[in-house]
Amino acid sequence: MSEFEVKRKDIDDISILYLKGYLDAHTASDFESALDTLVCEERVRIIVNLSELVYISSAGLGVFMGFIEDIRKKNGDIKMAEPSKKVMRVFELLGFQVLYQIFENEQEAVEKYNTSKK
Amino acid sequence: MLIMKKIKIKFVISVLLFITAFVFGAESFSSYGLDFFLGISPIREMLLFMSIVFLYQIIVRIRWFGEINLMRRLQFLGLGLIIIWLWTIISGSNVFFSKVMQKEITPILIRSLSDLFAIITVFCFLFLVIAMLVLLKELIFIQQRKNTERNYKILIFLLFLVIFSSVWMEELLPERISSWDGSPIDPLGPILYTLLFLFFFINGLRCKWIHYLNKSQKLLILLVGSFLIPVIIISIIDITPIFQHYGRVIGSSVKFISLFFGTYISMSLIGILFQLPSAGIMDRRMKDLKLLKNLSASIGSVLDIDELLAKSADLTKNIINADFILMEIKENGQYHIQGWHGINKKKAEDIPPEFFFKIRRELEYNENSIFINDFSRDQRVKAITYKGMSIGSMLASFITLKNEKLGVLYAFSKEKFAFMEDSLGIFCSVADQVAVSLKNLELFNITLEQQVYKEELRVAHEAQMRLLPHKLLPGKEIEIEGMTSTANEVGGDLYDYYLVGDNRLDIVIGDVSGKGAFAAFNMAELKGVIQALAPHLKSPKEILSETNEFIRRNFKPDMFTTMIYAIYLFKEREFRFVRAGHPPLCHLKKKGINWLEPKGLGLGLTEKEKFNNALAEDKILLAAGEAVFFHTDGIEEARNQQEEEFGEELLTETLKGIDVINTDARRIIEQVFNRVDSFITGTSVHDDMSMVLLKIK
Repeated sequence: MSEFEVKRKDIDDISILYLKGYLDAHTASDFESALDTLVCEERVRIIVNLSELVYISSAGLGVFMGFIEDIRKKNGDIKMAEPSKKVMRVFELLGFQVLYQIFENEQEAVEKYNTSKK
Repeated sequence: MLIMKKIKIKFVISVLLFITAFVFGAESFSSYGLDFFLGISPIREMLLFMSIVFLYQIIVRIRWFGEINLMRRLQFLGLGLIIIWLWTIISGSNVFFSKVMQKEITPILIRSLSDLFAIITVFCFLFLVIAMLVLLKELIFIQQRKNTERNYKILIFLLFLVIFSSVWMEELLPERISSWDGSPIDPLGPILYTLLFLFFFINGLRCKWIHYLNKSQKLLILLVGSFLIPVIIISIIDITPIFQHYGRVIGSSVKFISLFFGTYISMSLIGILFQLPSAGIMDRRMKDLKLLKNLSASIGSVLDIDELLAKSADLTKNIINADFILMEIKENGQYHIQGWHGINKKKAEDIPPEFFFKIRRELEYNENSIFINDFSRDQRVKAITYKGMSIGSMLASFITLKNEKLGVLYAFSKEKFAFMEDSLGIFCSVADQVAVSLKNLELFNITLEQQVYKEELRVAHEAQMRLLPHKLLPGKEIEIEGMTSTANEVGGDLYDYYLVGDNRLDIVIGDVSGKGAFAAFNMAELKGVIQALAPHLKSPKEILSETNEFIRRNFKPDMFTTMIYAIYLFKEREFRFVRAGHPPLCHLKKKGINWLEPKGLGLGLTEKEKFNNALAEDKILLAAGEAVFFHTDGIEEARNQQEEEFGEELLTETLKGIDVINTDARRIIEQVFNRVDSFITGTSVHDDMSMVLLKIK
């Protein structure tokens, strides 16, 4: 149950994290360190691509919550892209869409950053 | 008891046979011209033989000494031999006994009381001799092997055969062996004789009891034995003629049994003699093993590390005979002196660490242990010096358990060559013992911590159980039931329901993120807050809004909570609810079900304004026979062996299948629970699962 992977891609000042597998209490720390690295590098324009994320638990959601306030203070954000139906359902129930911008594809998220660059 | 009776009977028979034997004399046969039997009475001999056989059987049966006590047995043997010897001396001199002993009563019958007395004396003597034989048997049987019993039985058989044959085979009697008086020599005699002595020899090899003696005991036996045996044997041979007159059977019994004594004891003495040089080493080995056993016994159960080290050092010093002992324990990769004996703490701490570091390096080159006889000369430690103490010899070993180095044990002596050659072996055994004890101590402490932790969890679990709502008063027009199944002893789910005034029932169900004790404490805290708020606020939305504020202020940002808060007004049948990020509730109607999912946001995720905007309060009316089902996401997330989730669809299906009008609240919950339970059969992992059911009667 603990197959999880984080891959990172940087485009200009945007960093995209690709999450793959199961994000739960056991694997949350991997995601946490990936975000931590980005914050340390002052790369706060973050997109999380969820297309290959199969499952997310409250521990996984907690990771987002743990960083978002700090990132937003630094004029950055975490935008979600391409969540699966299941993951989207989790977001819906919890009301995550009120807190985060969720996009159907990655490109839209990148556009959003570019248009708000001013 | 039966055996005792048998023995007693046999004994009586034996005595009677013996005495009766002397009723018969040789005269009765001489008239038949049987020269062969001249001088003896066959009937007497037969009776005597039978008597002796019975006597042997009795004596063999009696357990003379309960448990093996070797020295006692040897002492009795010695005592018996001395008595026999004294007897023989007295018989040879002019005392009343001797007159009796020498009295020629064959082939005469018992004529007087003194004759009877003489006979009984002989009987007693025979008894003693046979008793000695049986004692010898017990010595032979010490550490018996598979052939021991067989060889012994053959010996006894041959012995009795020879005794029996001696009635007519005169060649068997030693004093005649050298006399060639023309009479035909029966070859059977010498053959029998040879066989008998062969088995004397074979049984004589069975002297394992020697191993149980220590050096001084061996010396004592050697001394006493070497003196006593020749003397006794000679004495017995001397008085054999006396016994002859009573009956050949008696004579040969005494003769051959004594010869066996002589053979056996001589062979034992030779055995002891050969073993004497190694006796000292054996003793020391035994002593070492005993001390080692004491060591494991006394430090095995010590629970305080300092005490353990002190005791170990103390015992080591005793075993090895060192002047002082030092022990280093490895902690976080560093070695520190933590045990010492024979030296005071200050001096031990004064020794520079390089000293030990160098020795440890040598230890690693030498397979973890080292034995130095002359510290100043030995190549291995020549470079290592410390002016503060004079070291002559040293033993050192890593304290290891399964290749893990726990520390180092050092033994020092001021003198050179202070330790024996084989001391290293025992020293390493001591180090091993200490290793085991140290490990035990470590494991014990871990277990203790776990026990404490488990106990704390148990207390928390009980506290949490007490927080769950108890049955509401029956009689109201509703039924309300809840249940929770936690993943660990404590969990993050909560549910509660309580009456607020006459007309209002509040229901809350929630899920604090996280598992275990932490989530549970948060949950308990929240419960208290909500219960305090509820009576003062009218709407579910207000209550959760305040709750959101509380969580924002007091919980960490990555801890959020989902919750549903509902208020039911009895008179109006009005059911109002809000859903803060929680799985939807289900309205079970007469026909079909309806999932209620007003928009909402989890608690603790954002500030007041945004939260209030995101949370929509809804309201429905409930009719009789209808129910509302609340749950936590542990149900959808429950997995079966194929790792499939129970999921929303299955839950919907389950709820649809319930005959809500005719089933009471408890039963409805059970049905849902059983469905989930059978789904997850075979697996053990699951999230916290909770359910609440409100039924309108």
